Amino acid sequence: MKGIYKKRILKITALLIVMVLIAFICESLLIRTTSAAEAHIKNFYREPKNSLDVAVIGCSEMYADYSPPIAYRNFGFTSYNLAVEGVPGHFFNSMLDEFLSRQDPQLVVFEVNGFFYTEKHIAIEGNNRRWLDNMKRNANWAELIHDTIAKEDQFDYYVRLSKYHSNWERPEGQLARMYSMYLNYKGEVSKMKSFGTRTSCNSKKKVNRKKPPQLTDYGREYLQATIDHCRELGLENVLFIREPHKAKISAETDAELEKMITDGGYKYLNLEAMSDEIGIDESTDYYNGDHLNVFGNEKATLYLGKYIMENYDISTEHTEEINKLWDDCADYTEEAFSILKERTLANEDKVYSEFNDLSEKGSALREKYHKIKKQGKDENFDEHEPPEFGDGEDFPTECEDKAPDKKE
Amino acid sequence: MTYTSLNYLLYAAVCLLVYGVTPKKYRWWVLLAASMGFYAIVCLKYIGFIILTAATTYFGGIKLEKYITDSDAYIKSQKGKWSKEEKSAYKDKVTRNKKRICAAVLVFNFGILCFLKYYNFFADSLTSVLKHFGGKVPNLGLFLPLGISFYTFQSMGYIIDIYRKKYTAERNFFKFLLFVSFFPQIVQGPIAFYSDLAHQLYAGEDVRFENFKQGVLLVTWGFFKKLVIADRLVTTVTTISGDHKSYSGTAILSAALIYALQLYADFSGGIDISRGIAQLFGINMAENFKRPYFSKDISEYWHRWHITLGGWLREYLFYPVAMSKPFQKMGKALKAKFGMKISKVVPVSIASLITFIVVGIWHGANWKYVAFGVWNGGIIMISTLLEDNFTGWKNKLHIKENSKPFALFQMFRTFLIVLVGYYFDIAPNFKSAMSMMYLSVADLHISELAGREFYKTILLSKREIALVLAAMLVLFIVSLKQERSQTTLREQICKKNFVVQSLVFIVLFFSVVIFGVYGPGTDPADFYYMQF
Repeated sequence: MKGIYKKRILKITALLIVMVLIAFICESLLIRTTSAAEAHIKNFYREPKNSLDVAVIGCSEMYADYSPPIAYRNFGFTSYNLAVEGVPGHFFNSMLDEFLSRQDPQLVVFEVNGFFYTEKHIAIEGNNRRWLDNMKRNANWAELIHDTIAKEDQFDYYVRLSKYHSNWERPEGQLARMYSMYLNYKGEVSKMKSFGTRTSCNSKKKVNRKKPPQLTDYGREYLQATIDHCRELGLENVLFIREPHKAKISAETDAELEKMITDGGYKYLNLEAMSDEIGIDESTDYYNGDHLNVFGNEKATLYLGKYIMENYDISTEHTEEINKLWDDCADYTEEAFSILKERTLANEDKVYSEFNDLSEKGSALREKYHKIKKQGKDENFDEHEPPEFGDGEDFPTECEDKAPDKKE
Repeated sequence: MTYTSLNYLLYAAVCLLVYGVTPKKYRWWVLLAASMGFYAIVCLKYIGFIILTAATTYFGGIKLEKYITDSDAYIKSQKGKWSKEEKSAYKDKVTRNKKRICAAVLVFNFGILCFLKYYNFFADSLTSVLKHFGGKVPNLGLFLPLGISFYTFQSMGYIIDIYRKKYTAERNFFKFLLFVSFFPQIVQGPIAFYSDLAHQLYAGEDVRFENFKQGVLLVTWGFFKKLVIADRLVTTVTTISGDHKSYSGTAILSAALIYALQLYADFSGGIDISRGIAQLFGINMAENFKRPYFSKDISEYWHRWHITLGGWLREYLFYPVAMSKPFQKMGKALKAKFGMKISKVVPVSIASLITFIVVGIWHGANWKYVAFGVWNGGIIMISTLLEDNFTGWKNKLHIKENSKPFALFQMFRTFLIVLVGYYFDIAPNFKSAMSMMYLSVADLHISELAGREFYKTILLSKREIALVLAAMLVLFIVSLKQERSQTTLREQICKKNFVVQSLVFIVLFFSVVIFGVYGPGTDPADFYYMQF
């Protein structure tokens, strides 16, 4: 009798294991946030442990406006943009925790845009999902869902298939995502350390704020929480920055930010106010109101890199292996930037993420995928189909486009 | 906590665990606690109603039985002392009193059901008449307690059976409460006879692996029907039927056809979930569906569709009406004038008509449901009356009764009759139902099916249509296999080796997980029959 029970338990266990495996496979095939966010987050976990000197945390501004390989080439420090489009500031602490779980950075840089978001922006599911659905499933992840997501929605975050299973109806988008990820996982590590741009000086896809952003109560609460968290962790070198935007924050907001941050014992740098000093030309260095193009990126990176080297005692000593890896990345990025600059001057107005193949063959393939995707969409005529996330085509983000405070 | 929610499955799993570890003798307490707990979670506000029905039926049953036993004993004690007339007079008195007790319980409980179900309708109807004279009957905004129709029918069947001396009354109130409120069936049945269900509930059957496997398979199959098919189609039906004048006849006909599939998948899927959960506890509940769309005539359809309601109505309404004194008198009168055949057929046909009108009214207080009853009952009445003529025509046309083409024709014909009835179901009122039927014929353009616009109209993408067709094919193959087999398909699957069993389960499970309509952004549809 005992033998029968043992056999049954073994069989049921085997069945459950197979089912869990299938569930994971289905989930990895059907999940779809934005390929850019997925790449930026997942590539972070591929960086060699304790190889990064500077942690950069923020929203899309960071991967559009700052290039770690360019900074490495010019100043020698290694860094990574753990940056996710539209990520609300209340996730910054968890992003920092993830960074610190694998790296031991000498400096942490936060871009403050995440603290300007309003309740409406935070309520947009996609802005939560980009971070929560792509970060590693660990205690931090589980705690974050528990703490930040409404109780009735938590199950859909823990079991992602519940949210994404209906993507079986949109195989073109899933194929495009898989193709993006295939390109992304080529090579040992990310070449551009989280990057995205649009090849334009004045993109048709505009994200222009009419009103300058302000700190909301939400922003104040979470900026303070981020400062407190850094202090709890005993971090000495923390820099809060504001990347350049066309619609500049007011002097009051700037002062309020500075006060809160310096009261917390950290530095604040408003690059927006230093646009002239950086050499940013509004007519040539932005691709839209909120993001610099490759020309602007290069200028802002050099300025920020110089500031970091001058204000923090960053050691740039690395193993030979790490230096070689980063030299390759810098070479690749420089080459990519020169191609992207040409395309920007030609006002191509297309989105590029770090995984895009910039060769002619790669561009042709990309076009082909776009056609397939478009055909599939036409065939389906699905009015409820979410904006195309596939290969970052809707970069910067659907969320930012939707964010009411920015559009108005 | 709906039957398709994860919470419900977890609830059932916890109950099963507690049930399994509880000593056999006390297991029915676990079922009672689970049932009352479920009712309290879903419908705490109205829990008094189910307890009231259980209490009145329980005490009514005991009183009735005691009266019957005492009367019988008294008659026995008077053996040889009474004249035939005295004995007959006493028996008549006993019958009258028995009827009074039984009727009191029936009137009270059906009264609650009718009041809650029809008061608002009558209040609104009266107000629409009285408003011309400045009068108004208040609409109390009454809501139906969860499962009231089903538990009322089940309890009333019990009291009638006690009256008929079919079994003895239950002496333990809590056991009876369990019979009335068993949680897997409370939402939409199946309606059980006390003699079939009660002893299983009280037996404390062990949790057996075979039952577990079959139960899980049945629950998953139910989920497949409900989430993959029914819930995908529900918006199409409600949107088109809710504003039918904005749609072409082709779209309206499509909505009716889609409804035929959606309703079957919804109701039978829900029943499969109920029966599957019950089977986990070792309780076999009555089948409620036997491939109804394979029926060759409308009578057969009603023996295959919502079987337990049909069975209840036959047992407690149709037979009593057909065998009642007025109907017997009618039979005799007809026999004298029109002969044997008519004297048998006419009373039965009228009893059928009455039964179906009751079925219609049970569905809701609306003329469209009366029309639904008249349509079904009328068809049965006419086909019974004209049976000889049909046989004659078949002989003249040399149609072989058992040929496959004729069987297919019969199925198609029956489906069309059923489909007409469905128009009364989906339309908001009788007038709309007639209008929808008219448009389905007068404004039918098959060429529309080829256009892209049509698919936009029915709110389904081509991929969804392909999925529904594939699911229908699976449903058809399973139904065909079931139809041709004596044992259930899940029994057959569970006899295969472990790999085959697992494979079937995995495919079914992941079909639900991937193709089911659930998760954020979806609005889970209630079971259709829950509203009744």
